[in-house]
Amino acid sequence: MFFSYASSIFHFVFRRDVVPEQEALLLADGIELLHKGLTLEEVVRQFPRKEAKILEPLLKASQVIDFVVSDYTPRPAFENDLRARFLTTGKSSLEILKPVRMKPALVATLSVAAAAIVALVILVPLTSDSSATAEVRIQLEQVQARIDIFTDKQAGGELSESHFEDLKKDLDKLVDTVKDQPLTQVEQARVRSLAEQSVTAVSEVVNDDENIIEAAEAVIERAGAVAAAVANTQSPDDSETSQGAGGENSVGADGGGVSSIEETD
Amino acid sequence: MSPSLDEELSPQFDERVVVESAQKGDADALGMLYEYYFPRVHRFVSVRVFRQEDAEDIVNEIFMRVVSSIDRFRWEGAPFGAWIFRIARNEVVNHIRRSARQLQKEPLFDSIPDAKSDHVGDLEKEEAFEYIRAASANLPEAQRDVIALRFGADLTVAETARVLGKTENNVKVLQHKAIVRLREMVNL
Repeated sequence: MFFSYASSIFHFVFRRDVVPEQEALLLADGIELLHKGLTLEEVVRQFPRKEAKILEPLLKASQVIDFVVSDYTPRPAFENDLRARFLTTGKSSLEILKPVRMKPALVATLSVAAAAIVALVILVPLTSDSSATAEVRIQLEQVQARIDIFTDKQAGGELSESHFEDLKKDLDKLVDTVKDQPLTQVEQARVRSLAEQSVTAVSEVVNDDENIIEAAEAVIERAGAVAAAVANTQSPDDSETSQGAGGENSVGADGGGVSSIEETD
Repeated sequence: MSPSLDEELSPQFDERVVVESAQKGDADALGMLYEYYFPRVHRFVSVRVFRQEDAEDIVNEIFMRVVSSIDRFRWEGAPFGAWIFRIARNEVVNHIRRSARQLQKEPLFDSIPDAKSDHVGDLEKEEAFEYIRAASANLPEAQRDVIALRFGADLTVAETARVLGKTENNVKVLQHKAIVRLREMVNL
């Protein structure tokens, strides 16, 4: 009786805790051999008869699982659609990084876009009404967000040409959006500040690159023109007769006047 | 001597070079990574998730996550494959947590054949896959992971251990328990 009980305890403890683990290790070895191309019979012959008898049905089961699962294929349409999205997303968000040397032409293009905004600020009619459409406000936010990204990427050494391009495109779009729109002084100032910030961000990137210092200086000059336009902006009441006629710089090209404008907007 | 984990988890091409190119937006490199990992990730997710629509949503989410964060991947010990399958597993786990209530209501056992009859040999592959998937849904979480990674994603024991943060012996034991249980349920 005692021996039977002891045997049961022994069997319970060791059969459950040791033998299954040994089985598990042997099974893993057997599966690896199957994966290497051996047949089930060849694998089973690698083990002593007692272990082989236990392992054979488990190896057979693993073969079936392997066969069934590995043969499962996705819907071709899903695979192809996802591939297209994966590649498009990757290409657009992971352009080749060139953080040091930018093409002068690219900076020059950006400065043209900024200058276009300066001209626009001078030409658009002023109004005291909060007249900007939702589209204008969205585009202002878009450019601000783009500048923030640009600055962040620059700080992280991850700036690429695509960031210049994106900023340029958003500035161009801003020009198109605010064209012929009556803007309040605050809105006008916001547009101008975005131009300033854009130019400042660009100049900080390129100031170590001798090849494009000249282009950077041109950009900074444009920022000065923006500041001059700010200094001579008339109040909304008399804006129709004397808008942005030019004058002295009262806001530096480093964007120093931007924060107060942002707070009031 | 067994190969290093880096070697085991890498495809036949020079993955480091390909990943670094992909991180710069190289379309060919991104394509190579997609071709290599998509089938494995898809099978892994399909084993773990009951509905095909859910599996596709999750696989989509995984690859969008991979492409949006690949520039932040660094070669610091863990191979690229382990990084991908950790993302994949996290997405699966998140999905299962979100839909736990619905999954509990699924009549999983209804679709599992009587253990006394041999159904598998008569089934088309698609149906057979559904049986395996349904049966594995009744395994404990860790065993399901091992089955999905070993047989769905074709990872080795070492790779599976790496992705799950377990020892190789742990993985072997879990694999053994899972196969024994699946065999009982589906009569393999």
